[in-house]
Amino acid sequence: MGTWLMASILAAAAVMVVRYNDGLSELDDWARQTDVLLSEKLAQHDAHMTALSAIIRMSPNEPAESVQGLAQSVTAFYPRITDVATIRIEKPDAPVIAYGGQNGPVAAQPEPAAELPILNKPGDTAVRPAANKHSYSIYKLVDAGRLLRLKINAAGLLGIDRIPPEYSVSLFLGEALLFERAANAQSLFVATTQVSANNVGQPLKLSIGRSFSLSELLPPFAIAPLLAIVAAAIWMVERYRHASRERRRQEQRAALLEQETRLAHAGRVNALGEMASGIAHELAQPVAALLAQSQAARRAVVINRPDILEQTLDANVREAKRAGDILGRMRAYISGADARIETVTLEDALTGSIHLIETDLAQRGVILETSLPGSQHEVAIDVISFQQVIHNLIRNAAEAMVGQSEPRIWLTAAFQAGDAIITIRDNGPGMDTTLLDRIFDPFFTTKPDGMGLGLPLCARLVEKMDGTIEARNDAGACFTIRLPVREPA
Amino acid sequence: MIYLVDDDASVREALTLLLATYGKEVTEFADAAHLLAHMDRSKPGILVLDLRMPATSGLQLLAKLSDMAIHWPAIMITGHGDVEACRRAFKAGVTDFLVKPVDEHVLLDAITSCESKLAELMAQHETGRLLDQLTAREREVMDLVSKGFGSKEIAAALDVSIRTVDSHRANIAVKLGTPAVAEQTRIWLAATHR
Repeated sequence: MGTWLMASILAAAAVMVVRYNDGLSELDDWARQTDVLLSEKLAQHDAHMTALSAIIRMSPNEPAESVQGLAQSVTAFYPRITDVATIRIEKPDAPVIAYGGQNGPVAAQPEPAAELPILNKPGDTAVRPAANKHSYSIYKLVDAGRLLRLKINAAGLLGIDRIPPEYSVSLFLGEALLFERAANAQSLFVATTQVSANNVGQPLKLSIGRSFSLSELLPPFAIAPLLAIVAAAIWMVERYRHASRERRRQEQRAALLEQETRLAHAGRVNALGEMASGIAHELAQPVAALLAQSQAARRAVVINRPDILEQTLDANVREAKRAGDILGRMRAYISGADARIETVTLEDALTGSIHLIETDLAQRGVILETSLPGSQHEVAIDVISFQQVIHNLIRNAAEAMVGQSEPRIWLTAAFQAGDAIITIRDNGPGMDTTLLDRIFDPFFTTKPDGMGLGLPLCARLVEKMDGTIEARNDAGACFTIRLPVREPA
Repeated sequence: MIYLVDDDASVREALTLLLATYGKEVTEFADAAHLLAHMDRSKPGILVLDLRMPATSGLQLLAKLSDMAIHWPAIMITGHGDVEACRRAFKAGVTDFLVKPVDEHVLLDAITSCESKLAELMAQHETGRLLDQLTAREREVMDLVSKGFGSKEIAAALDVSIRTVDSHRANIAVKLGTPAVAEQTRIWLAATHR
């Protein structure tokens, strides 16, 4: 909206400037035309004065018929020349003879000699404005003792009817205002130009003003479509900008996503490097067992002990499976494979986990107390991942309690507000509270031989199942896993 | 006797079984603490230790045993052996450093080496025990005997009569279980040049 307003104002201003410039050049045109006309007319006055003064000079006795004849034609053809008169300079009153009238020359009102211009030699001229009469008089010394006087109606000088009514026109003789016409239009503002008719004897000054009205500067027929175009243009620009912004945002998002994917992959590859030592160690166990068992089997044949043979084959099957599991986990970690979600009862999944760790715990002398829900609620989980998480957490707890008396782990599972909640708690030393918020960071470890991948892997696996995992201290360490529940069908 | 310490139950079971097929007697422990708690130091044996274990590593266990003046021959096995771990293991005095999976022949060779070391150790132990019975004077006499001196020279050196020297030598022969000078010298050197 703000943009639209601004753009509209700018557009309107542009229109105004164009219209104003048009008006100014029109004004100039009129001023020049009027000036030319005025100059012509003033020159005519000069010519009439010259002709009349020549006739008057030849007519020593006045009133003279010859002067009357010329004066009559002058006044008839040039109505602005309202009066042709001769003045005999005598004191105190100068007698005046007016020519050009219908009834021949007449003696007119004498002029006070003191008010007459003083002219020194024949041919000299002077002009006098007539107060409040919109006219002026031109005096010319014809010969010693006689003046020729022409009275000019200033209104007739300008052809005022030709000039459009929105122009104001003023005509000055010196400081005296001879003629004035105001502009008829309501004006927002006025531009004025001044010209002076190029005539030495009659120094008239013309001032023409052009008034501009709002409707002239901003004609509605032009403004309305203009504003519509501006609005449309702005809308289109906005739409384009919005579209490109959106496109850019999407590109950025895509780039970010790609980067994240790359980072995650790089992270996994790095993790793999760091993990290599751990994997080697982990994988070395079943392979070592396999080799030893197999060689024991061969020896069993040599020393004829079939009982050992059977035992070693069983062990080999078990160890090969164990190695396969490790490889599978590693593959899953490297490939970032999606969880293979199955719907199972929580109890089954947990029981499976417990079986996997029972022997280990028994060897370590750790007591595991379990409290399972018993209900047939189902959870949507990747069973292998889930069991690995539980296995890791229990194993962590057991390792944290090495050398401790009466090591104990509580595994509890319950349903609460649509979630399955599994907690694994121990009575070990607990976790360093200053490090609690880092324990899920990859490669963060407090174990001398740890890789720092156990808990991050747990967090990753739980998240893949849309669950969460939290760690806190509650006497010992306490881990809480929340998983979404699948209601029984 | 072989003392096997490995935190992995399967590996323990497999190695024990394999060694058993070769007639070796193995006692297994899940970690260092169990070994320390249950070992009988009067029955020296061969230590087969996993390098990487929770709580106490194989190297730490060796150090603890060394502190207890137990220097039994040891074989270190590991799932992931790097050069540094290997260097530290040999510095700690292990007889061999093996990477899992361990081939039976390699393992048996290592155990054979350890067995001879153990035999040496036991012999040293035995000779030490024999020499411990000698009195200070008898030791002086025996030292000179081992250097090839006769009774006359020994009597002169110790400023005693020849009869006294002969009496000491008779006691030495009884305590070391042999009148032969060569055998006495062997026992003496074995115990004093360990």
